[in-house]
Amino acid sequence: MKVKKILTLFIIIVLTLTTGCYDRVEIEQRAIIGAFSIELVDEVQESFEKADDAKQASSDSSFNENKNGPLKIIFGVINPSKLQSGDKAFKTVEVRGANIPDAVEKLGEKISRQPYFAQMRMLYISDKVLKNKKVFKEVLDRLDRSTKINETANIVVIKGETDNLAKVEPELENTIAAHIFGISENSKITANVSALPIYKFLSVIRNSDGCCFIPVVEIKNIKGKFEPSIDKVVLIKDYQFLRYLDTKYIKTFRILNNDFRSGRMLINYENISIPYYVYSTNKRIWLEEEEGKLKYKVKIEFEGDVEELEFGKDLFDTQTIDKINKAAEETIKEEFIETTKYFQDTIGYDYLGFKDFTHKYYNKIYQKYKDNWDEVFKNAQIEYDVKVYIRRIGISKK
Amino acid sequence: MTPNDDKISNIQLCVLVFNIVLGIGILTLPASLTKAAENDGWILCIISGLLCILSIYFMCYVGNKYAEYGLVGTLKKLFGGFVGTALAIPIILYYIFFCSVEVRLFAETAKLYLLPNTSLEIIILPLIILAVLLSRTGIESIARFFESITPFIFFLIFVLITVTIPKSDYSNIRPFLGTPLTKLIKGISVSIFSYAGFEILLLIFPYLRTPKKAFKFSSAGLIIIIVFYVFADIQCLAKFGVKETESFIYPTISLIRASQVPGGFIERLEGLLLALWVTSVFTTLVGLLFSLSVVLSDVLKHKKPKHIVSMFIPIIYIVALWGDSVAELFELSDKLMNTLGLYSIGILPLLMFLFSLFRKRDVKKSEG
Repeated sequence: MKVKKILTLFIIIVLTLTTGCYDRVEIEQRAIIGAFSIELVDEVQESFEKADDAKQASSDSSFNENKNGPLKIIFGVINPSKLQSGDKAFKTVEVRGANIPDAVEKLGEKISRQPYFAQMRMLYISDKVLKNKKVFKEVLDRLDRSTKINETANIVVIKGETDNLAKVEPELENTIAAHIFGISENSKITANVSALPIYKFLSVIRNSDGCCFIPVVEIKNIKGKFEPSIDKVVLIKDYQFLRYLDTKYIKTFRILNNDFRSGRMLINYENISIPYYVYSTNKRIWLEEEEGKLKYKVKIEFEGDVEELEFGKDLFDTQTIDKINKAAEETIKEEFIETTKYFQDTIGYDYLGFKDFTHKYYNKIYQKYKDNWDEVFKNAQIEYDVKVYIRRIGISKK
Repeated sequence: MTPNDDKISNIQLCVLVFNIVLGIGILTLPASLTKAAENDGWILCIISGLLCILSIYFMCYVGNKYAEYGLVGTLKKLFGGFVGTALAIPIILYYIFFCSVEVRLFAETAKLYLLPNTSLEIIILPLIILAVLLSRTGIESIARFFESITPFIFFLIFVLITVTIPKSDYSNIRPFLGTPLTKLIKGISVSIFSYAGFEILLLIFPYLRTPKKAFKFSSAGLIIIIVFYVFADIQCLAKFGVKETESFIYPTISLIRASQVPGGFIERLEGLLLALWVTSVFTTLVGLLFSLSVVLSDVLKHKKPKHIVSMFIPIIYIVALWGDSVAELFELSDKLMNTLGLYSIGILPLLMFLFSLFRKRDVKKSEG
């Protein structure tokens, strides 16, 4: 019995006093990182271009650690005690490092708390990083490998200097991260804003061998005020920056990529720009192969509400609604044709999801053309059939 | 009233099989399935599940026939004293290595996600000690413990399933049957071992109240696991696609990490999954340790299995610390399953089944 009691006591001591205690970190000891930006410093980028050798840029002795690594990472550290008061509740800390873990290590040399990434909301990547394939792939690998970074945080590319981000003064939120996260989450209700969580970005870029798009934050200086907006995307090809996609194509681009949830479209009807709010879309594609050429027929259905016409004009009439439907179908169809032409002729790569569709639904055909897909896409015949349904017109008849 | 006779009911058998099998595969399986059969991993999961049910049938057939003998007794009956005992030795090795790999995998996962600063030894030791404590108490207590935690496991699985469904692209599981047939057949060897654990049926029969219904209830336990595994695989594909799922070491944790509760009132749901993982690893370990103690005590002709199991604390602890890295650990695990696992799940039950068929004829002849 005595042995049993001693054994039980021993187990209780082992279980209560050892397991997990090594990892105890009180919440007031944590530095909650709301967001961080990654930028490649100019002089390093030049040396990369010249030598294409990371070692030369990051190290000049047998020690790999270097105070001035190629990456400039700015961490937005949240101060929880100020969140309720409405003051500026964050502090930015700039660090130079060879890579992300190195920068996090150096962040620990600058702040009194332990960096904590579980509540991260945004990750900003400078377009300079995208232009350097080697560095970009290193960043990707860290994001994919880390267990600490919150993978549901959104990723955006910063057009221009990331320093401008710190100059943004969020008015409705306490932190810049919350402000930009809020804008990107508006992708659910707006046509041109897109949001991309880190996990989805990593999946897409890996599954498509380095071909994807990332939303872009552009920070404009309007009368001395720095205002961010997300209405563009950047196209990545072979893990490298390809080009920015103009705002006018974003809406159709998102619909074709199944990224569109709801948003507003402007329909030209009798010289009035009618706001048509789309709340659901349905896309179906058929494929035929003819003499080595692929013929796609894309049928897209829109359901939504007309939000205004003209005061006094009767909209509570099926004939008028039919006419607007027709006008909308024409306008939207033209937009799709123009977007497709732009991708086929100007960009030359399939970012519109036809490759993915063919692989999933017409695998035999895909296997025939997969090695030469870009050429096949450029020469493919893509037809659109747009159907618009106006379901509601508001609460007024005229 | 349930008699206190160290025997278990059919429902308890179902719960036992479910809890022992759930544990090894759930975190890593979608990656190996996707590597083996790309989009058709879930089909592979079903095929190998059905093969396991066939193996269960063999075990139950033999078990029913020699219900009172136990594994070693049956082997001796079928193959003779010496050969029978020799055939049981690989099973003992299998259980020792299986326990060790399970414990080490648990510790590595816990260290990566939960306890980065806690040393591996401190994570491993309490788990082994607690599992040994429970497995010493006998099959009835083990089954009761499993019964009491099963609703909790089901609840967690239900919550986790619900949160992973939004924002999934199920078209990712297409094209169907795009994998070449040869690749699919090769993949079976990968996926079949994710159901390892049900081989407890080789030795459980003396502990069953109604052995005749064992096949029905143990298959039911395995079918629930098949459904969960198929769901986990489809969900990983729907969230990440083929290449990304394949690249993960623990795709199911990544799946939960990538999921959000609508409204965002709770975040970092992998904590829930890891709670489930801790419980399921513990139950698996208890089942394996119990099996080990039964087989070894039969081989050594020792009447009390609980004495045997305590002796294995240092052995399992040392073997668990063998592998240097996670990659080596997975390699070791694959080797274990492809040799001793294949023997315990496939070869031995089949041999026993075939020999028991001949035995039947012999008995009839001698009776005639």
